[in-house]
Amino acid sequence: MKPKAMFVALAGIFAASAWAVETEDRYPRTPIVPEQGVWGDQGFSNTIQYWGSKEALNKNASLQDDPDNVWKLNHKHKDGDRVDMHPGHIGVEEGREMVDSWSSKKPEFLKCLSEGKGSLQGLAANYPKYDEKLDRIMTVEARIEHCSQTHLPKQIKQGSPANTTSALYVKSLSAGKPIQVDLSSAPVEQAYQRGEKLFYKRIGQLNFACASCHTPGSVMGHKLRGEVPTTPFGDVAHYPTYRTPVGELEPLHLRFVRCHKQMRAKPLPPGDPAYTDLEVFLSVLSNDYPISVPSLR
Amino acid sequence: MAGSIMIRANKKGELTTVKALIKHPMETGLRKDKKSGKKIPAHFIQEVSCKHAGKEVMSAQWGASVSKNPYFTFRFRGADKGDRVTLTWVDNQGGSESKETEVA
Repeated sequence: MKPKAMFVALAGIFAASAWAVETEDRYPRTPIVPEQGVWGDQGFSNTIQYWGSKEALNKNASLQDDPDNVWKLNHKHKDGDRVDMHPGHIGVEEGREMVDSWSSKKPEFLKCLSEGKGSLQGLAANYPKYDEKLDRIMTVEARIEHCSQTHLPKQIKQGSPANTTSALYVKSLSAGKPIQVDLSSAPVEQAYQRGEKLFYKRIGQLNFACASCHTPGSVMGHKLRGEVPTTPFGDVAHYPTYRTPVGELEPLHLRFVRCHKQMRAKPLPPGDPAYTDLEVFLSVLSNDYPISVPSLR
Repeated sequence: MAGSIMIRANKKGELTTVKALIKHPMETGLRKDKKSGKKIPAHFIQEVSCKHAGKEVMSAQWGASVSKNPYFTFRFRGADKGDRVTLTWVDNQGGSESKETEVA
């Protein structure tokens, strides 16, 4: 009996692995039009799958014209202007002190950070963008890392508290300005394509992809434990954010790290090219959505 | 926000709502420094008080159980728009700070 039982078990394992390969792309690729930016959300969240029933869909559609209640449509609309006093504001002040002290010691740092303009006002809305000199995609955090490496005595690494706090300050100077990622440049377009692939890529012991919870037809819009998974649109506009469960500021890449740990996958270091591609993909899906920093999640 | 207090006071109807966010480490004195193994000395706010027109409208005794960077809010009657409201805190190491704001 024993060898036979073993054979059955082995066959089971082979069947399971074959099934895993087959199901890798089983999630229906939801058509996302990158040019639509955040407006693509309407095809995502205005669906019966999202709200569960036709009555709920109609009821929530009427909330769209109601500025006081529009945030109920999706958790991400619960932005910083609704909660006007939270520790994110302390982070902005700390970031201002940091950037001011660095740029008063080394004026070249500010020049590098603002790409020669001298003022950081409204610059973060166009990030992530392609830098021709460095030949790579730059996020705000990567720009701070690069400028500190070239002009300051000590490099401020991505994912470190100092980097997050100063990135929060830089982004807060663009608060309210709609995100405009330039998709017409070829490297950004390629990064978008790579990021889209990563969004549907299943990884980790639990075999999850981002799409497993954030596309129509999955649990998106339904209860997942105590939470409701949201659409991927407009989600990056509030990062870096103050996370109440953690009690700390969290940049987008550390959010990815947290996601990967929960998916039982090996996280990458913040600033990894794969994370940057994913950030480009998500930022393009937030085009036209105003930056809402500092925020509370 | 210069200093450690961020404060806003708004009047609606009879009631004035004061919201404040204080930047403070609020160390309990029980935590250990991971590197040196020594205890981090206690450093927390003990007294918070708010004055309006020379009269105390709110006072609170706090302890080590209050969170880091505490946020709190309270309401009182009797203020007019344009009045000044002053918030003061004192901690166990003798530090203190106060900030004044206008009722809007």
